[in-house]
Amino acid sequence: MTVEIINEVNKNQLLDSLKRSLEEEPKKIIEAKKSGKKVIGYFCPYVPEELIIAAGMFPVRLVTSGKPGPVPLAEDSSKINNYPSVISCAGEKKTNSDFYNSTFDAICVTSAHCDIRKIQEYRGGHSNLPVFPLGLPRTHNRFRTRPQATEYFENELSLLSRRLGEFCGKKIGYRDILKAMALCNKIREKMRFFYEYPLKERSPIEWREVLQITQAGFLINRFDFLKELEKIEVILKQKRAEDIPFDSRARLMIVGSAIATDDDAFLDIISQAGGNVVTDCTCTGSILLRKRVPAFGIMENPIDSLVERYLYNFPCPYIKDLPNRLDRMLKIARNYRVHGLIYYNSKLCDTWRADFKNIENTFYQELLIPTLFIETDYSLSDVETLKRRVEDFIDIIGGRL
Amino acid sequence: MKLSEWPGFNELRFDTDLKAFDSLMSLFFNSAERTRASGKKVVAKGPLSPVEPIYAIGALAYDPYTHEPIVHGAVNQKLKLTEKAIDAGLSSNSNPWTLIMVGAIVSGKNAVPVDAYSTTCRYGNDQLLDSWQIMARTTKAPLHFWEIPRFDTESEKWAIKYLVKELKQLFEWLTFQTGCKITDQKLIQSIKHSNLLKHDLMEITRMLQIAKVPISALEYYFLQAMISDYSQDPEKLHELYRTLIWELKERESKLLAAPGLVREKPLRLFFVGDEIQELKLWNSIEDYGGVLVGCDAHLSLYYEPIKEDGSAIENLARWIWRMPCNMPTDEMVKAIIPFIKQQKPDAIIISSVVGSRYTPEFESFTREIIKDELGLPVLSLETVLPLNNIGVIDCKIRDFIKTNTY
Repeated sequence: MTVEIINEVNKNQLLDSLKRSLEEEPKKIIEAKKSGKKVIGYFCPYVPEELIIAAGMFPVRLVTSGKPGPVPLAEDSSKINNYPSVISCAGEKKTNSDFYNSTFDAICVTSAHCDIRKIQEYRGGHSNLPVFPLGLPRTHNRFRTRPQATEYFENELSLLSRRLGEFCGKKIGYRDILKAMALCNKIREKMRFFYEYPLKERSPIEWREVLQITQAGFLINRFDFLKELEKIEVILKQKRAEDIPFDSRARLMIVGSAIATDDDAFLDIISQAGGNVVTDCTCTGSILLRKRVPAFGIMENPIDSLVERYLYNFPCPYIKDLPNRLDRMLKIARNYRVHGLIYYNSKLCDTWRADFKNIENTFYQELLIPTLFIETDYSLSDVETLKRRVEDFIDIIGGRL
Repeated sequence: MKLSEWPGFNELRFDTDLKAFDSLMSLFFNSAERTRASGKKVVAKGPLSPVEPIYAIGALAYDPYTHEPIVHGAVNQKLKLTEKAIDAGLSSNSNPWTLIMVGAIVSGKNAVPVDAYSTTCRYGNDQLLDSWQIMARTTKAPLHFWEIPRFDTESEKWAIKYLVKELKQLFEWLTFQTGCKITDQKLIQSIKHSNLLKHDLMEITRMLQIAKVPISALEYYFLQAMISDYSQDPEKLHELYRTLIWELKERESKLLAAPGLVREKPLRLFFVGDEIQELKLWNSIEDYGGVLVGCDAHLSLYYEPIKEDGSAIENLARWIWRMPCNMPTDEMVKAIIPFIKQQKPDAIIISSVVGSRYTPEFESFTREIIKDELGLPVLSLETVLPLNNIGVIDCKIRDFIKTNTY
């Protein structure tokens, strides 16, 4: 399904090679598993995939849901009032309808969302899959007035590292982690570069294409993914701004819940209504890429770098540091010259829901940016209503300009 | 005003023979006057958030999540308050308890005035935290979250250390809000008071183990609900609990069961899961030949006392970390199973409130563990706002008791 989406978006053959790589990935994973490699699925971006790579395993981020079909299939064990992405994943796992959702040997979860915690229990309880939980503090802040959070998270990461090592039968050393960090940092650097293209009105790549690249990167072996990014980078650098038409569409920013790989209905609606998403604050998008954290010197404990990167990065609303989050969102909106904010809330995602009023008011007061609130699941029953609302919103923004 | 004269209580059957229960309910309903008269600061806290630090500083703890929905929802039936909560930013898919609480507070109709908000960030209670944020923001009151780390036996060492530091920061915040300084002595005193109440509730719960259960379900539910914030007066609450225990012991010695029980050998039911606003349920259990022998709604607050020797803050941290409500569902259910077994139930009721993020999502998972561990029949109930479910619940309870009574 992910390949199909890329195909649709990829009008300028920019992502052809990536698409091929994504198509070949399941075969590669099956082969690797035959030779004893293990696949670790994880849900939340606060799980450091560096540790999984350092253990010689494949990390797969489980956001390959978003289809309405599997939802009812999971309802015998998971109530309808669960977070849609979670029940969709559970349904896919149950029917083996998604390769990635049925291939992993263990899962790694944080406590960042209560439904993700439930996934831990569901998967652990129903499938007898090993589950590696990671405690994630939520009361710390950018001023580091709660230093205990750093110490706690350091210990949690060391425990996770030890557990992953035991699972794959390899002791994870500092050098392994440093190597994995170097790889992940290279990937992030490239992705950051791509996400900055839509800063200009003449961009060779759209935000949505970059999102597709990001989402492909959750599934493809990270070494292969880096090579693909290098290829894309070469193509993009060859393009001259003068040859690209000026994009006068309304510039939009998406803020909110994770956008699953197949959760593309509302993005289609935005495109069809004449909106141009230029940036985002979603955890499947760019937010965690924004902070550059080097791997500290050879003699340092790389876990410290991981703490810095994951604990003191752009805070998810799970972490109760709203002022920091708001500051960063405003800065992004200002830099990208955003005209309107789309607040995307997956149904029953309480974590984002509670911040809506605050974010809406602040964006209007500080930058005069209006907000459209979209709350939806994957049922597609509200597509027509959404379409009308998005069209009206873009009309209003256009009129204001 | 008699209990049965309140609009939501007029169809309920209370055990009027228990004199202490009337006084307990007065304590529950006159919180507002008492808190105003005391001149102390009131700190709102979540239903399973420990109150010892708040009482140790000399402030009063208040659990709006339990209190406001009972007063506005179950008693006065002001269900329109939910709309105020939605206007304030809560999702309409939220738990009705949360909606009524937030609705009451943001519209200024809260039963007890609140000066500050502080609650625990524990595993999986995002909705509650969001509501705390909304209430504090709307009423422009100070807010402080403190964290209970994820339960994992392998992380105990650093988790306790973390929790101790979180508690110390909570004390600093409370000192700033109230102007009073917390000392070890005050904390020990607060722990001692709270242990007395824990022992009281343990003793009452022990009385539910006997064949002739001396207390009815509705009364027992209210006793539990009051331990959540000690009704802003731990000493008075303890005194009333003791009087009630004395009355119940009288019944026990005379082999008398609570008056509402219709069968000689009723079906013994243990209640697990979300609290329920449909108070008629408690009467229905007895009307159809059942008896309530335990309820885990607030069990985490009294499943064991806090150690009194050694470092007070560390003892408190250890006790908090082992509260069943802070554990993942499978561990939590396994932790409460010994308590359930002690009560000798014949069947289990699992309650889910639509919109709650506690039980409903993995009610089937909980049901499986309970069935595996106890081998008892389980009834799942799902409810929303009061008066919206009683027809269905009534039928379910009747059929369940009938099916399981031999």
